[in-house]
Amino acid sequence: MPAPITKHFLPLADGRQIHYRRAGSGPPLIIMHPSPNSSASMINAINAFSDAFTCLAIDTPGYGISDDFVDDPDMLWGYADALAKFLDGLGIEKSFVYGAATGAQIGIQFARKYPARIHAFLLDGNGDFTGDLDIAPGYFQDVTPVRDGSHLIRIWDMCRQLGVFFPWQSMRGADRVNTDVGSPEGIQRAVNDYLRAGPGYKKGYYEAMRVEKWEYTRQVTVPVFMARNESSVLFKYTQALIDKGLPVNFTVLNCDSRTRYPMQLTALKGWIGDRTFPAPKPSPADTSATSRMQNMYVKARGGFLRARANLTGKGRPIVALHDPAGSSLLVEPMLVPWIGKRPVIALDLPGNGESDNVIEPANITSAAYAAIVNDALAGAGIDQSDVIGRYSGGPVAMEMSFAKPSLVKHLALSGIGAYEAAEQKTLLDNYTPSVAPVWDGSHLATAWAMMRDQGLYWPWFNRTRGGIVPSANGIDVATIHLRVTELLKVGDQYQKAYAAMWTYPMRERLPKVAAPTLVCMPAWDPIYAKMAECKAFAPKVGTADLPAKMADWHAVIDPFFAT
Amino acid sequence: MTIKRLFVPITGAQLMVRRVGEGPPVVLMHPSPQSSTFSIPMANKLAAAGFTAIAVDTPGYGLSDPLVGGYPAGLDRDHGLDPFLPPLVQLLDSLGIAKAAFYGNATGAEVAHIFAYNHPDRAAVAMMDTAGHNPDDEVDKITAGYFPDVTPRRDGGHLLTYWDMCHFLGIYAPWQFTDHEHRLQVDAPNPERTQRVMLEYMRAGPAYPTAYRPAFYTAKGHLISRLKVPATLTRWEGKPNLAEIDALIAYGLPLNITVLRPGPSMDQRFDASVDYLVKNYLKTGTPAPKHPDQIDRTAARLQKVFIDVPGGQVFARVCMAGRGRPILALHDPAGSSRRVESLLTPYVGDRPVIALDHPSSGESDKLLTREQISTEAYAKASWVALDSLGIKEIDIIGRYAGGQVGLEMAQQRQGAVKHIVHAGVQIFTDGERPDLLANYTPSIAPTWDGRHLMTAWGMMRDMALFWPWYNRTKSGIVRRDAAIDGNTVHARVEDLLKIGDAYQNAYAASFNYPMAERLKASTTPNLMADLPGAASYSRVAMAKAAAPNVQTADLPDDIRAWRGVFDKFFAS
Repeated sequence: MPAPITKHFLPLADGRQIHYRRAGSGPPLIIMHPSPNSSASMINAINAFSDAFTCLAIDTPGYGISDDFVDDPDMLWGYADALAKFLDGLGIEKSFVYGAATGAQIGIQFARKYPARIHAFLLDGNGDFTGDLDIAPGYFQDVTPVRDGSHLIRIWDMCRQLGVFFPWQSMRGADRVNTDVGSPEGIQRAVNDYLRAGPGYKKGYYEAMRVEKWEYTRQVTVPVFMARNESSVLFKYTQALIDKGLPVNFTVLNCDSRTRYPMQLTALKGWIGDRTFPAPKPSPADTSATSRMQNMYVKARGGFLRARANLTGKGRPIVALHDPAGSSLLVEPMLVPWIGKRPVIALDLPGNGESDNVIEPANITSAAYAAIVNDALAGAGIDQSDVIGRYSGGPVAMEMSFAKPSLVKHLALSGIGAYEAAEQKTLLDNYTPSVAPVWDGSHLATAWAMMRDQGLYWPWFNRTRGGIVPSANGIDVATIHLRVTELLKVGDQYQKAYAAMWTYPMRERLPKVAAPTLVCMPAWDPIYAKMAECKAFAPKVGTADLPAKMADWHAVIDPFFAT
Repeated sequence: MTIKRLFVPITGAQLMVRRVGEGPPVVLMHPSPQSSTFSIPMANKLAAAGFTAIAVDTPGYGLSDPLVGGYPAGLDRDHGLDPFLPPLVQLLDSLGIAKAAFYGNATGAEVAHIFAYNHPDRAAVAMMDTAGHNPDDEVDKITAGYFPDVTPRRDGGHLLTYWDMCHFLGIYAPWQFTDHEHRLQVDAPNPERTQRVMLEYMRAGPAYPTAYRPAFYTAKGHLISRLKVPATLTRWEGKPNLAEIDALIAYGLPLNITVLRPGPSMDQRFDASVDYLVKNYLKTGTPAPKHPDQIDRTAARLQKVFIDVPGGQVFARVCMAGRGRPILALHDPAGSSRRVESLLTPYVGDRPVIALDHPSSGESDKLLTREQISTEAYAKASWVALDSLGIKEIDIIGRYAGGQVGLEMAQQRQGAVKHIVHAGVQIFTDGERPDLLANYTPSIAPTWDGRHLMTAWGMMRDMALFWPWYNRTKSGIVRRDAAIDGNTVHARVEDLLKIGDAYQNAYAASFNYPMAERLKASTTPNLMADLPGAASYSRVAMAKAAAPNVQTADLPDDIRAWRGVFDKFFAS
């Protein structure tokens, strides 16, 4: 069994954060991933090295869930500086470094600028692109969100064709990759990484291609072990680099994808010999004193739940829970006005957003979500809170208070209601079509159209005159894109999350909530009428109209929390 | 009286019209982008009332050729539709019409009044159903974002752009607006309707704004009020935005423009114009138009033609110039005559050539139901079309399943088919058939979210990358350059969407065809030919093994050089 992998954020001086995975013990080994992926794509490498090293696999700034704070992407120098800051933040003076593809190029620039900070350097998936002008034209497509959702198809095409041609946009028989096309699930994972990086995905990726040249690589003076991987799609570029001649500090490891990690490990161990190198200190806290909303992990059930949080305020924390297909990003705007006044935490529920899927798939209920959230908050040392639940977050918040009454001092429930049998059936049958990845990417069209139509009709599949929602802006591209992005992360588990909400026995449970409860909705909410129904069957609860914009909701909720 | 599609030759191009009735001519112009399909109900009403209805596909729309020489740059807003006038004058000339009534809807109404102003001697009356008056700054707002770029993209995403636009035409007006004030209080269009609209956009292609955009700017009081010929303006109660038409009336119209005020139904709308024409134009006794040949039989170029067959019409691309036995080209199941045009091009001018759209494929009428589709039925329909052209003996070039249709044609008329080229051989083992039947033809029926477009695109692209296309593993790789550029895949997808799920039956007919048996029994010389790098190349040898009587040949990479191979065979 490889050492367990933990996940962390390193806050920098200005509050922006680098996300990284950590595993193992021993001297530090920085691991850097290809573009436009994240440290998640390096888990096999982490597992291969964590016996002998403390693996620190970072998400390159702007990729994965690291903030983008690189102002000088030219020639990757800003990324090399970011790596130096990362080492500084962890108190590491000198480290081993492993870079794959873009990660290799960042490592090369780091090694050129900061040679004193590398013990030895593993290069993988690197080569020489000098003179190969076929790669860049058309390689980087514009993926800015557009109203018809076709930017998703563009990303899908790029990710899929990586398994058909290299460069992916080629149509030449000579560039055909001799492999099976990726599975739809695998392609979707790559698509999700593009979505995380956003339209700026080419920022570091493009610079990495520009610097992938013999003239720069050969200037590395630290000890290098370079993989010559015969099964890599980049093999011919690696060979081209070797053919130009490498300095004596380079050792070439002839390998294939199967033998690569063992050979790299052996080479490093051989270089180390009898010497010992200090291990890094434990990771510091995820968050810092800042006015920003930051990322934070809370542990639950052996996994990590991602939260968007700011803990600088005083008093009871305010916890916000999102809707079935959403994530903390969808409720974050409502918390921002409390920053500095109260601690605020928006959690990604298990399986949603960036949280590990620590919920039992066969038992997805509001109570099951609540039990995990309660564990997570307890683990984070939170024993009292005010909770805001949006849509399905409402029943979860209620169940939190049933399971642990002392934890929940106030409940603000937005968009909750009782769904009667006939309504439940219609919604269960129609509301949540599968968005599981399919070979042609057509699930992306479904996901986009559904999230678009949620702004146009209620329920969204009732595309008749009777279903029209009088929305002020029926096609808000940025919102649709965010919702689709989060939907694709949770995938078809959103079906169960929605079902849990609709089938929740609201009529029975709401009257039993002991904590002060406010049911609240903006007038535009298509289920606004359910608020009055709630008041009718649970007379104890308060009700309130919320302002149209979520960023203004605190004006109504804050006085209620003060009661 | 049956409405018929016909091509009318004009200078350097062909315009398609729908024609019905016998009497004084009424020229009908359609809204954008659409085509004369829109005009069918009105054309039938006019025919019943004693007129000849000539419903025109505006140049660049429907099946009419685009403007010869392209749309000129630098026109001011008042003259934006002027380039469409010369082709219409030529149309009248070709039809022997001295003077006609013009009736148009939306863009068509704009074309009608601009035509009548510029050619008062050729327009007996200009009928605008409907028009309006919008100030330029208002039009600027409406047209901003109205015309997205639909140039084919390699990923097929432009199909979602088309779909979005066509779907939202029924949600907001203008379609790209997103505020509640501009929301249409109606049911969303169903996917079938959206797809019909989309196919009209696809026929027009990326140039779809050519007449559409300038028509927004000619809807102006100062242009319409200068008309000197008798004219009508229909103020139809069912029109969603009556304000712009009332603005035109308020602008002040001269006495020669009569305002018609029909009630809200479509019938009321159209009948108002028919009644006007009956009262004011029918009695002029203007003679009915001539019936010109659809094609120039001496011209050495492929031309479009509709061929009358029992029950409807078949579309073809033909060139009758040249000598010797005509060559018939037949397309594959999801294709159309467009896909075999390049096989015939080298013969144009030397030998007569014909490429047919199978019934229910391409632009041919839906003469065969899904269940009626078979290799035999395609063969029979091809003979009916050839009979109509007076052609008795032919050589055939069939692309994939087209070769099977050729075999059936030879079987159906002994001695009438002299040679059959199978350019790509469609022969399968019993072991292969169940897998192909089960997987090769997924449904591409219209879906609410447009996802069928992604399926159609992915399939047509992967046909160039894998064999069979759904075997996306190492073992399925087609190891050669792949024509997966946007334009190539787009043309295939457009043909596929036209036949729709009936392509499943067409492919099934081909997979199930007893090719080996028929080849063995064939008394016609058969040439089995393919590119050595093609995924289907091994089928040439399979056919030879099954039927030693066939001839075989390798095709060169350059399709223009295929003629050399075919000619050797035709000479045998």
